[in-house]
Amino acid sequence: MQDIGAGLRSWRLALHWAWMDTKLKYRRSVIGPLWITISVGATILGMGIVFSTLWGTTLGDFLPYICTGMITWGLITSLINEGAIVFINSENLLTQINLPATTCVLRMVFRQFIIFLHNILIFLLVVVVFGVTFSPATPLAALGLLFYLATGIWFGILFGMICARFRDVPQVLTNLVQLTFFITPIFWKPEMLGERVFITTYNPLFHFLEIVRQPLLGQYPSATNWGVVATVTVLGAIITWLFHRHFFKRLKYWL
Amino acid sequence: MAHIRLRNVNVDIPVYDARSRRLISKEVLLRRIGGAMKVDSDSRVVVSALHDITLDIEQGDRLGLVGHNGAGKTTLLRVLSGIYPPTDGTVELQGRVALMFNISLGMEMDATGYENIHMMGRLLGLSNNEITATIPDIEEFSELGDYLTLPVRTYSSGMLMRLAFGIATARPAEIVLIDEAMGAGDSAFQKKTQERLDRFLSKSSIFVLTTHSEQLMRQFCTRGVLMHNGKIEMGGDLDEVYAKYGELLV
Repeated sequence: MQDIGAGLRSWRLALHWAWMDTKLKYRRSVIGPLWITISVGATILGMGIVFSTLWGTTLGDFLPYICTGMITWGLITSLINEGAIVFINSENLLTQINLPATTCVLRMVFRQFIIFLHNILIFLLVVVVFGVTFSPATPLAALGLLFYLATGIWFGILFGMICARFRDVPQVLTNLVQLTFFITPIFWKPEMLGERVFITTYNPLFHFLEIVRQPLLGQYPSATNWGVVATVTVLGAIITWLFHRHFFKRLKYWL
Repeated sequence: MAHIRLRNVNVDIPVYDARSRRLISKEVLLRRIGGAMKVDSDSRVVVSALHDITLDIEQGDRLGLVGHNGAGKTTLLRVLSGIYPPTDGTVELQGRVALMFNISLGMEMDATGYENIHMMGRLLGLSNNEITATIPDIEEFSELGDYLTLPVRTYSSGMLMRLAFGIATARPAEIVLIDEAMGAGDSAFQKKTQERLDRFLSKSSIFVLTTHSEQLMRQFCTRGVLMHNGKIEMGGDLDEVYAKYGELLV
């Protein structure tokens, strides 16, 4: 518990570190971190054109949907994939500097949020070009992101530890995330499933996606969306707390 | 009062390599260096890196850890620093610790000297104001001048070490732990560096050093602990420790 407390208190260090990470990665490139924006933007445009044609709808109708879906999904998956390897990647720091392990998790989570903020630019562009209606629901996206922040942190601590011990788990997670991309409504809409809509109902990542995507589109997420997300967040935090209490002592020896 | 007290500390490091069981040959078990290997209740291979260590380090101690490779010196240093929680036993630590194991760890090669001072300063727990206050001192010691505005990757290894060492010794600490492999190489013991190290150490109340150099040990330490196969063989006067160490080597 001490480690989590000390780690959370070191959020300034973690934020500074995450910002340095992002800055340094693109230091020698001319347009810098905007490359993140451009590469995601190109994917969204390409997929938008293809799938709006396939589903027989207009680009103006479909692009805001796929754009918000893709950038939100990008944040979710990077929190999962990077969370899995957060301690493995920080092995040197954790075994040679007296640094709370949780600081490394915060650094990773903040880095993903910084990337997400870069991608928000694409959404703003789409808003300007295609006109997305803002509504009183829009600010709820911030609440949704708070749930991402909390879940990103406990997930990183819990799975960071599990993956440090069992080195096959990160691979399993990466593959699962890849598979989930296709069964989560990102480039298609849930109602297209007809009577098989249960595929989305039982997918927790769908509910996480909705609590940020729907507000960005000016819509209210459903009560089910909020309920599932809140339950997963609280349960996950409790499991992490129990796991941490029993196994944290061993983390350094698993690295 | 700064102190570190270890009571019956054990550190067992499990080996999770899937093929590790094959390692347990008679030859390995009978080896004279390294911690003892054993197989635990889950039939996993475990290296007993430290075994039943009880050690009191009090205010004013200048302690040297002596022992051959794999004797447990570095592991002990990591336990003293609080990085490794012991498998069994207790560690009581009072005082702010400065670790000098790998002092350039955490430096970013693409960041400038100044950016690294800020980053490393924060890692060492300094506030923004404290970092700003230490900058003139680091500038003076490192003699890097305008190079501090360039990415660290343009530095020679000697320049990099001067910067890392300048940062690591910028703020005095009550407890200083130094591993000989702190990464400073020869440069650490050049005159200017040594003066700075002396000053840094004189402000500390506890100091623990591991090195294979008997000369450095005698220069900095007043008391020695001889480590052997993860255990404390003996502790006391440096002359006695080195005499015993000589016997072990034969």
